[in-house]
Amino acid sequence: MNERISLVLKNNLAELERLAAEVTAWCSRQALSEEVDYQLNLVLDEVVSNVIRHGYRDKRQHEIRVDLDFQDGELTIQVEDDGVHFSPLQVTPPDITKPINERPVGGLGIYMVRQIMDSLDYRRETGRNSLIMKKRVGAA
Amino acid sequence: MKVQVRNVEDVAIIDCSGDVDLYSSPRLREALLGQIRGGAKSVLVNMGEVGYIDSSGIATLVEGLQLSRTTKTRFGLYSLRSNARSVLELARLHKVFNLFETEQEALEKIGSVQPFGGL
Repeated sequence: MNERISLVLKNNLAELERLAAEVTAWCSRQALSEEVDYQLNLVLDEVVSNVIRHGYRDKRQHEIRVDLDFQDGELTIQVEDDGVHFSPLQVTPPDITKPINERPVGGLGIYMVRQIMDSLDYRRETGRNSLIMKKRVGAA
Repeated sequence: MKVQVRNVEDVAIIDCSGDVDLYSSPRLREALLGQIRGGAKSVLVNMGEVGYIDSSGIATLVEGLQLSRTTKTRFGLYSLRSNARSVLELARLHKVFNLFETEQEALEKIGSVQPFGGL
């Protein structure tokens, strides 16, 4: 059953738990595998938590919109926010060939998102960040 | 997430269960770095009940690994579920951690691990 859903989250880390529950329920309705469910949760966790933690310079409440769609074997995720201009495509990937003691502790989130998804497309339009990520997947 | 520490002879085992994410990873970090700084000769993290780990959880394990090499503490993970192992593989970290299938294997082999490297 193809069902496109839109979720509106507040810029509060507590919203990540609700997001995970909604995503898992949607994956189940789409008959997506547990692995895809996990990957989708990981991608959204990394992207949305980045927006919440780094996207806003004020203390006001903001909304982050997440759209999920699965059609003809292709998963499409769109994350839109009104935070500061930030393109994940311009983040320098961590050098994973370095010896472990020379590697930075963090910085893996966006790298993992790019590893999981087949494509990322970023746009900044009318003061909003829009990130569209696609991945071809099979049903469970 | 729950974090509990127990000792089997001179090995500190950190039993971790639930999701290791941005919210909960500081608790694992406190336990892990605490054991390493506290002078444990060997530290194992039991990942068998970890259903989800994100980049902040991975970063915590990397920090533990880096500190263990400084303090020459033997450090390993065991009973990783397939999804958690996949995340380590995504980050190309599966070959830098000492990974064991079971607690028994981990306890048998951790003493042979070079404290500054792999097996």
